[in-house]
Amino acid sequence: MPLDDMDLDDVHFQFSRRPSPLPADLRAEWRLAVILLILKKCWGERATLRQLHVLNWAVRTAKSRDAFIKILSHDRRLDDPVVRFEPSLNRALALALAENLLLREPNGTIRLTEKGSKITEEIMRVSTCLVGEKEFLSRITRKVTQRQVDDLLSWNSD
Amino acid sequence: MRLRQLALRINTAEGPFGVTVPFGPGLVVLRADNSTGKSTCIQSIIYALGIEGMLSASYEVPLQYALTERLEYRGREVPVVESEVLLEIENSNGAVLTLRRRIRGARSDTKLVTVWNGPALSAPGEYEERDYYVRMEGAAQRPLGLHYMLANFLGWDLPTVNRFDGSECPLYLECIFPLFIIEQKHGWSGIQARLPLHYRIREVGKRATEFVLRLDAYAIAFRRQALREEATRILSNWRLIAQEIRTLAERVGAVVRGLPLDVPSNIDVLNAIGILVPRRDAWIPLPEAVSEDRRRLQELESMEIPRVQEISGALTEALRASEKELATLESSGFLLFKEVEIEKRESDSITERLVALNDDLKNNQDVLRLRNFGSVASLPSTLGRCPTCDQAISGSLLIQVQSGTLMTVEENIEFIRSQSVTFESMRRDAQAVLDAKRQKLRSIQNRVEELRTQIRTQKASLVSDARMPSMAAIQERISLGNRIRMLNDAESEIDRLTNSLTELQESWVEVQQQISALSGEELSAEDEQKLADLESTFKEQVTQYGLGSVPVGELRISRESYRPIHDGFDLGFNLSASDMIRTIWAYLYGLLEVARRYSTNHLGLLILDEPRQQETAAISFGEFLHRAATARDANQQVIFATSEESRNLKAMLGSVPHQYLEFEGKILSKLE
Repeated sequence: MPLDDMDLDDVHFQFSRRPSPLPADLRAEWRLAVILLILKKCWGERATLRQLHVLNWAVRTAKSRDAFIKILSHDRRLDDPVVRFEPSLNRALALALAENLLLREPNGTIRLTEKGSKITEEIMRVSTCLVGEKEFLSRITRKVTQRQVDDLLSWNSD
Repeated sequence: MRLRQLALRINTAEGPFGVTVPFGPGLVVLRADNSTGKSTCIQSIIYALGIEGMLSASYEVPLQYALTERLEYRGREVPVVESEVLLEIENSNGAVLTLRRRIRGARSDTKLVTVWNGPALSAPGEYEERDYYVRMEGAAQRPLGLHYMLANFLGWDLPTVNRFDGSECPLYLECIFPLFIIEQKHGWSGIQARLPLHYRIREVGKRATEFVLRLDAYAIAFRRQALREEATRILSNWRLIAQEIRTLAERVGAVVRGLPLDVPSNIDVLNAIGILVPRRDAWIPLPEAVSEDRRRLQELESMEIPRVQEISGALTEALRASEKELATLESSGFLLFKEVEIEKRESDSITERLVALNDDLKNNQDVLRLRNFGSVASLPSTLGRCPTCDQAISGSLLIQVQSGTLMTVEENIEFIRSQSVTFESMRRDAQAVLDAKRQKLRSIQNRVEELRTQIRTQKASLVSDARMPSMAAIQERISLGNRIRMLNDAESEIDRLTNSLTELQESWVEVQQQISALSGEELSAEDEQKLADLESTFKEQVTQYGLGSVPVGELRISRESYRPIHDGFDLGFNLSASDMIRTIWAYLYGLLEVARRYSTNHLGLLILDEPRQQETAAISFGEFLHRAATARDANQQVIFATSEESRNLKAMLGSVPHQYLEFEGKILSKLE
């Protein structure tokens, strides 16, 4: 029935707000877990903020994972995707620092605390959890250097 | 089967060492102090039968140092020159075999077992002698394989079972014997604790129990599996043939309508399949197109081929019409080409969206899993509290100032799933549109080719000698004839293939009916009786032996795994070490008791090497031994090796009928 034909005088409209969806990678649990896994992978269980941003970008999609692995093996091409900085990572780090899972050292690097390290091992043990992310991190065989990170961010491209 | 005699023989520079152990029927108690060679006896029985694969995948000889390297004699170590084990066994018909397997020595080939067809140990004499091989491929399948021969001797028809890689193999003896022989080291950690997994047989424990109890369940399951495989084969053939039909149709510029991807349950679907050919802006059925072409050809052939001068006017007209049609087609072809490109992009972007949805789904499921971890779940930020100030936060990493609430993870998963469903149908839709457009484009391209040839011949006719027959007219006849032949061939080929589809559909329906007839039927009535019997003897025994960890009333024998369960879980994790031992006893001996009342494949033999001391402190073997003594009346054999104090043992055994073998000091002693 077309809208015009309805007798609208008697109809009471009621609008209620529905809960909005949220991508799971924007949920605190997910991101905290992934940050912990990333740091576990880093040398000395510590990383700079920039390194974290790059790995945080790399871990997210199948495309970015492949691109990152390629870049590590010096197979870089011009059409490689651009690294995105996510403000949400900073929020997640703030939470993790407050939770005492991470520690900011005087020179600014961030490292796992004992508590964080323990939870990470727990996450590592459950084989059904974060499968793709773990698989990606295990593909990174070499240590990720600052230089590679800078390259990737094109901060010293000339 | 029962054991009649075991002999270990070792040659050293100090002369021969060894032992002979005679086994009578019924309960046999073998007593010796710890580390005197009691377990060596049990292990050498396993070795003689060539079933050490049940202990590990290794090809090393799994026997004590004393049999392989050097033995201790009067405080010195004497090197072993040669050693071998002999075992005399008897089957249920009273036939006797003697097996000899070498352990060490110059001539020793540990993969060969010599078998005498008679009691060569207890009554030495001339018996037929033959070598069989073990621990090599085919040992269970070829006539000269020891296990093939043993299975025959035992009256076993070894079932074929599935492996994880999809291949098949017999249920090896190594997989069955853990229900008959419990060795000391690892045998007591669970029911079928020594189950060899290295053969990569699916559900090997279940298969072995099924075989020992001779349940029909396996035959039923096997039949169902075979039917499923048959169904899969039919389906893949169907798809292959359907694809062939599509390719054939495509080659003649036709499309196939109504050919389902999966085998339909209704045969009528097959009659509704249409092969459509484009003619003047419409799709018409292939047979119709063929008869139309035939009519036209007949019409042409009934006329004499016109001379150029007679038809030059008409020819010019026709040329103009052809050129006009060509121009129209080329431009609509160009438009269509662009449309196809657009559709392709559309389809790609839908696929991309589906991938993203799938990623998000996985991440959401991970969030759910993470919440199940104690330590992650108890973090304030996952509970919606700020870790610093303990105020409510939203659990989202987006800017916190948000209007409205967020979906819970469960709601979010549901939301993603419903989106996936929508996008999935969009993708199918887009694919269908894309296919149709591609098909249309292809038919336009074909027609363009045809027109170009036509225009060429029309032009050539117009400039040729006016008295000559029209080339265009000839060309039309030839190409029409060609087209008819091509369409005809395709039609008959498609008919032939459609017939095979009909056959496939019929067998599909039949297989599906058989599968549904089997469904719900896991166990036969007799299976159910056997398992109920096992359940009641099991419960009776654990009560008798004093099981304390769980209430006996709540125990059942699982109709799924055939193992004892409590509250739906395998009994074991929640048991104390001594209750574990009671459970294993009760279960394995229960199988033996069931074999007295029903027809099974049980050997009627149970060999137990007592668990290590610290685990048995709280257990009294008395009750068990009393019960085991009844084996004799049932023509069964229970061999129990123990290091229990002789005095205690005698008190426990009391007046029950048994054979008592006591060894003082080392079991392997110098032979005179």
